[in-house]
Amino acid sequence: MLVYKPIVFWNILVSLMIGLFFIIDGYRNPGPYVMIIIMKPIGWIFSIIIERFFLSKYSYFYKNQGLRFRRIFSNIIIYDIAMLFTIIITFLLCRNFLLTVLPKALINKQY
Amino acid sequence: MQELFIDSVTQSFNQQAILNGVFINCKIGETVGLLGRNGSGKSTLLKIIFGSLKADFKFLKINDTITDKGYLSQNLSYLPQDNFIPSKLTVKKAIEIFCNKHQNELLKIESIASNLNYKFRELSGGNRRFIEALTIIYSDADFVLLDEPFSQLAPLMVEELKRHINRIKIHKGFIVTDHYYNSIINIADRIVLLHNGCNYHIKDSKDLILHGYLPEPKD
Repeated sequence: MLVYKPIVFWNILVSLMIGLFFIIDGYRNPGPYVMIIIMKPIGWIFSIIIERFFLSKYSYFYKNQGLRFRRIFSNIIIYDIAMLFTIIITFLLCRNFLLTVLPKALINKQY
Repeated sequence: MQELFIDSVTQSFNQQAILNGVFINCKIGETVGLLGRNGSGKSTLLKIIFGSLKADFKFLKINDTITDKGYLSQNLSYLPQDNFIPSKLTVKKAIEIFCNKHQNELLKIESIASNLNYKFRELSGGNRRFIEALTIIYSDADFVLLDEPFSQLAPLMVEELKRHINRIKIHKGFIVTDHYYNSIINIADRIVLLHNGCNYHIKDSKDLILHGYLPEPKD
């Protein structure tokens, strides 16, 4: 209830895309890191704008629970950062599988 | 001391003073009725206390703690004039969110028990308003602000709501405003009238006539 779900899904999609770039471009190249620095803050700004519209409709519902907008927004960003790191680390651990076995299997139509 | 206290409230819109040094207090076990003409600043005052509107100046203390926004104390609930609970939420879920201390008492109320699994969008306008009002009245907060709780309600529901306010009053302090002034006079221990940006403590209906809130009786 606290967040507008399409925002969460969009942020996860962006994180997955960044994770994919890490696999393709490698973890030592600066490209994917630059993507994080540029794309994530832009995503957060849009999330906050959209969320603000969504929450203004129910502002008294949240305020009656003692919640202020700032706390909800900071939670969105914190959870998104956690999700991004989880995706990057998971992709790092499964890099060989994702880079070789999975495309090969897809080509062979095993999945 | 368990008390909500707000002093020196000053608020103006477009350089017109709506509230000018207004003060009001409310103790646990007390219902304060707030009356005033349209545009006298009743709702503005409640929003300032709750913290959803920033006053030009105010001094707010809840249970001896100075606070900027009432809702951040988590000891203050506010029933706004419009519906505030999301439509897709069930009555049961809303009660779980807002009412823990007095949940059992609330669940015994017939109109709550019979609508427990309904979503708010499935309720009629009057029922929805009634259940939202009850959710706030029985909420966990020590102090409750009710902005026109009786509007949209049938007379029987108004009477029932008044009974619930009186029943739970020993645990809470209420500040209630409404245009149904007879209902306010019935439930309030004290009446405060907002007029010309100032507050007046009202002893009887003669004072309401004196300050121009009620018309002079025709002989």
